[in-house]
This record gives sequence, C-alpha cells and structure tokens, in this order.
Amino acid sequence: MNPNQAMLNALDADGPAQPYEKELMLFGQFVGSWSLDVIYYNVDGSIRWQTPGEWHFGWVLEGRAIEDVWMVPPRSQRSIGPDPSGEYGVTLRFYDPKLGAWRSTWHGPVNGYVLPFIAKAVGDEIILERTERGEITRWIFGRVQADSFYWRAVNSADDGKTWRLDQEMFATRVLPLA
Amino acid sequence: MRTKHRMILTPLLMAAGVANSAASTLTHATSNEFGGIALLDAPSNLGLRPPSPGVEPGVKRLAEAIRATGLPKRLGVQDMGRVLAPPYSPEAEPVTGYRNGLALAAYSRDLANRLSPILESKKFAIVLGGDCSVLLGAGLSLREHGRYGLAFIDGHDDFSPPRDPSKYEGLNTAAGRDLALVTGTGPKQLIDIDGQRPYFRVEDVVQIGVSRTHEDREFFQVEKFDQSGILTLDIDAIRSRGAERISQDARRYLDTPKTDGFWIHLDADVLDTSIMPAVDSPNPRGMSFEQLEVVLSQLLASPKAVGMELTIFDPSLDPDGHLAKQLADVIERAFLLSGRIPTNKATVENDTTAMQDDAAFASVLLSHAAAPKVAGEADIFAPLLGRWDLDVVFYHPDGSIQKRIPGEWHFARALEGRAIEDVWIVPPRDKRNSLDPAPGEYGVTMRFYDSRIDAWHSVWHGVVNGIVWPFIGRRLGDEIVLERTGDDGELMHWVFFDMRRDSFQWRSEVSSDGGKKWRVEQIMRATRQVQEHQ
Repeated sequence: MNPNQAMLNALDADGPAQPYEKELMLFGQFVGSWSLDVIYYNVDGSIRWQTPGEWHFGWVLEGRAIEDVWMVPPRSQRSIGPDPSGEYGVTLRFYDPKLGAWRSTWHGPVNGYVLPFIAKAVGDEIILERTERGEITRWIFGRVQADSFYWRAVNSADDGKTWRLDQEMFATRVLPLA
Repeated sequence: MRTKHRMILTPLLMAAGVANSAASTLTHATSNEFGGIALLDAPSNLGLRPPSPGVEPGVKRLAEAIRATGLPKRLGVQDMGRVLAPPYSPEAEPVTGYRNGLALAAYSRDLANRLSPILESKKFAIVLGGDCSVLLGAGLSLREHGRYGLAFIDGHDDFSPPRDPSKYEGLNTAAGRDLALVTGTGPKQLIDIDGQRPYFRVEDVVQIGVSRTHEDREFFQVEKFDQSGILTLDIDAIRSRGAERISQDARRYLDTPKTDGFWIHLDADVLDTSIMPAVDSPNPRGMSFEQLEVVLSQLLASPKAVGMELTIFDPSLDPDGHLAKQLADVIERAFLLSGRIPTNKATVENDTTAMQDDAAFASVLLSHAAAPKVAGEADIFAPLLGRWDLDVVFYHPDGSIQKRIPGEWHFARALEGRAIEDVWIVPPRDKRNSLDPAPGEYGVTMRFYDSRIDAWHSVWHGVVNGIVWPFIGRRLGDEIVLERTGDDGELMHWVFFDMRRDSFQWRSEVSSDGGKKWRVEQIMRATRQVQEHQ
C-alpha cells in the first residue's frame, strides 16, 4: 500500500462522532471544497494583496475533528523552489465538551505561524478568538449559506473598542462533477 | 477524505478552475472499459554519454528500481518481461555518428517487435526505460500500427542539434536527440528503420515541460526546435497558466481524430532537481510532483492513450530508493485519478469514487517529498515516516508502572513537503470499540520546519482529552527533543531517542525546577509495521 494511503486511512473519518454531532456540525457544515477570493489589507486600509485561493475541509480522527487545508494562490498557480508563494497551511479544529467551545489551531508553515484559537457560534457568525501581547485577533465566518460564506480577520489593540480589518475572504463552494 | 461522495473529487481537478469559473473536465471511461495494463522493461543506456570515464550510465537499472517499489502489483499489470540491450560502448560510432548508433538501431527493432503484441491486444503498454532513446523502438512499433501522436513530457527538447557539430562526431547521444530522430531528422539507420520514417509527425507531437538554460541556448540550435512546428507547453506556461489548464490543452490536441491514439513519453528530468536529482541532466526549473500528477492523470484519462514510457531516472543516484518510491507513487496516483485502474478488486462505482476522493484529498494534504528548505539536515523527522506499532507505558511519580497499552502511529509528509503530519492512536484501531466512548486518545501532530528559528514547530492535538500543545523541536545529538513550558511553569520534554531503521523509543519527561531534575512520565517503544510486499 502507498505509505501515504495508510496514514490517510488512520486520519480519515466519514462524518461527525457521537454524541456531539450537533455541536460538530458548526464547522462540519463547511466540509467540502471552496474556491476563494482573498484580500489582505495594509494598516491604512489599502489593499496589500488580492489573490485566489483554495480551501478543503474534511472529517478526521473518528469524526471528532475537522482538518482543513488552505492555500493561496491555488495549486495551479503555485511555483516550487526555495521561495514558495503565499501560504499552504492547515487548521485542526475539534469540539471540546469540557470547554463548550472549539479549539481551532492554524498552522502556516510558509510564514512560520502556529495560532491556537477558541471558537464558538455568536449569533449568525462563528468567531475564533485569541489574545497575544494585549492584541485581540478574531477570525470570523459570516453570511454563511450552503454554497458561500464571507470570512474576515480583525484585530483590536484597545480591548475591543475599535477593530482593524486585516483580511477578507469570499468563499464559494466548489460543486461536485456531474 | 470522505465528504459527500464525489465532492472531494473536485479539488485536484478544479485546482486551476478555482481562480476562474471554467469547470475542468476529466472525462474518461470507467476502469472497466479500459483493457488492462502490460509492463515491458527496456533497460537500455545506449543513448547516453558515460557519466564519468569508465562508468556506464546507471539508467539501465531504472526498471529494476521501479519494480522494487511494488508499482507493477499496485497497478495490476501483466508482466511482458524485458528486452535486453546490447552491451554499452563509450566509443565513437562513425557510421551513424551516434554513440552505440548501430546497436541502437538493432535494439529499436527488437523493442518494437516486443511492443507490437501489446499494442495489438489493446492493453495499455508501460515501457520502463532506459534512456530516452527507447522512444525509437516505441515509435517504430506505433508507426507500424498506424498514425500515433506523442505527449513528450521532458525537461529538454531532445531535438536541437549542437551549434558545433564537430565536437560530437561519432559521439552524438541519441537520448539527447530522440525527438528529432523519431520525427525524421538524423541518420537513416535510426530514423528510417524498415522504411517507417517518420515514426511521429511533428504536427502530432506536444512537448510538455521543456525548460531552457543559458547553456542550452549557447550550445544548441534551439531555434530549430522552436521553428519545428511542435506544439510546446513549456515550464513557464505550466507555472503561469497552471498544470490543469496546460494538461487540458495537451489532451484536446492529442484527442484528435487524425491519429489512432497517442503515446506518452515521460522523462524523469521534467521534474525539478530539488525533488528529482537522480537524472543525467538535472533540471533547475522543473515541474513539481503535483504538477506532473495533474498532467499525467489527464493524459491517461484519454481512451486514446495507448501507452507510456518512463525514462532517465537513474537509481545509482538514489541509494536508499526513496526517489524511486516517490516517482512510483506519482505514477500510481495518476493511474488512479485517471480511472484507468480499479481501486479495489470488488469494484463498485461508489467505492471507486470514494477511493478517488481519498486520492484527491490525499493529494491536497499529503506530499511525496520534502520541500527544498526542509530537505537535508533540517529533515529530522524523516526517519519516522511510515507506520509504527507502539508499546506505551505510563509511570506513576514514584517510577512504578501505572498502565501499559498498545498503540499505532502513522507519519506522512504534508503541505507541499513543508510539514509532517502524524496520527497517534492508543489503543490501536483494531482494539477500539466504536460504540463506547473511546478510551485513550486518537490525536494528531502537525510538525513543520521554521528556518527563521532553525527548529521545528510541533503541535500535538489530543482531541479526546482537549489538549493543544505547541512544542519547539530540535535535534540534540542522537535525540530529537521537543520542548514546551506549561502554564504552571513546568518544563516538558518529548524526546525521540534510540532511533533505528525499524524501531525507536520516545519519552515524556517533566521538570519543576527549571530543568535540573527530570521525571519520566511516559515511554513508548515503537517498531516499524511490516510493509506489504509486491
């Protein structure tokens, strides 16, 4: 057997685990593939970089967790070699019943990031939040529909009084082939 | 991974389509409609120069090395044996002007004779080369059966003559001119065997992946290739337009009703030297494994593809065989994705799709090789790649054994080769009862190298126990030490030690006094799981 296949068999799951199926569907609703329009902003609000991207979510670890691979630019536009483009990273998200919330950790190997968040539903949105050195960072899934959502990253250095928009993503679901 | 049914099939295929709204189509017959695969070895190095004086080119052992990866069994091939080549000579050969030229002419006839029954049986032919001059034998056989196109996937044009021919008299290398030869330029003995010139018409050929260097332009008449009329989709086109769109262009061109089918020539040096250094002429601007997989699977998906040859990979430059495995994996995946091989023996449409879903998702998440910055000394977790059985022991603070459980651990490369991901399952799957709340843990570690700190980030996610622990890992002597500090100031080390080819040990130790005294909390003994044999 292809060695990667053995690992995938160990990782892979078919759907959410019992008994927290309802809670797990908070991020479970994103399972599948998305095409992205990603916009990064400078601190003055001007656009730093606009790029397409890809996002693929799947169930893992006996259905207790969601793993999602995120990349900009999309694979077809990526170069190889010592200076890679954009980012090609992964989030591992799982529901922690003791916490009543999700632990969601972003790993960005190109840019050297490990960012653990706590995430929960807030009204119609899903908010991931972390605080480091007095700055609050929120990554927010909003306007969630079956085939689209809007994501934004905001940052506050004054305990949440004012927020700066750092990044947006417009996501459309990639439909299966007929 | 299994999402809904077919949804995941789209990621790989939609990769280029993501940035625009054009849906990609990988239209193909199901594997039931393809007629099976036959494998033929053509271990000829007649077309190459000696790598150094007195040394024969190692490409002769390509077939052996690829077979050793188990690829033939995984593809389910019918083995058609080997076409032995005449002995290699480094001497000049004045009749054809090509080193080993006359021997190559005879060999090409032999190879064509052995390929013919395979083409007539309508099985898909895989020829394991050998150097690129095996294309002459393949082309001859194809020409004798009709008019065939050619997908020439190669980092070089194998066409342009030298600017100073006098330097090469008698010593031209056929592996550097095979495309010119098969399209009818060269000595009669090679281009017109049994009156069959040209074996391929220039207008039926697509070059995919050529990558020019300064030396190429300086020493070879590249303009001859550029003006030849051969459709060229070079490395720049692949990088700017994407492998998906390029492969669709190639497929549309080759699916023409003018031909009876097409042949695929795959030279391993189309791949970038950073991932495929085991070739005669390494390519400083080559394709990635993922790009090659996209191109190859698209071409294989066409019912008009009648066969392929793999050339140039030199096992003597791959002592531990890992490059051969990576190459074999890409080929296997391409066959899987193309629909040419059933994904398990009891094929049902659902199973096939699910396996293709897995194959497609695996392709997004997992990787075959280390990324350039990770390769070499930085690649400290490489020895752990693979599957392990575990004997896990937890200790009381007084050092006595608290409990002992078996487990399993699976490591693979991920994320364009910048990361390693591993799944840790204790107790192992075959001892878990899915109806009970799971005991133990079923977690994952994400590890990636950060050149800024010359160390690895290593984040353990224990999803059953609600743990997310980021560590920083480095090699220290013979051990790999992962370190973190808990919220209570306690130092924690997770250490890989006693690392051997088929076993290793791991310990978890903590210190409450800043590292003076350490207490071992847990030890694991790991033994490598036995690989399935071909």
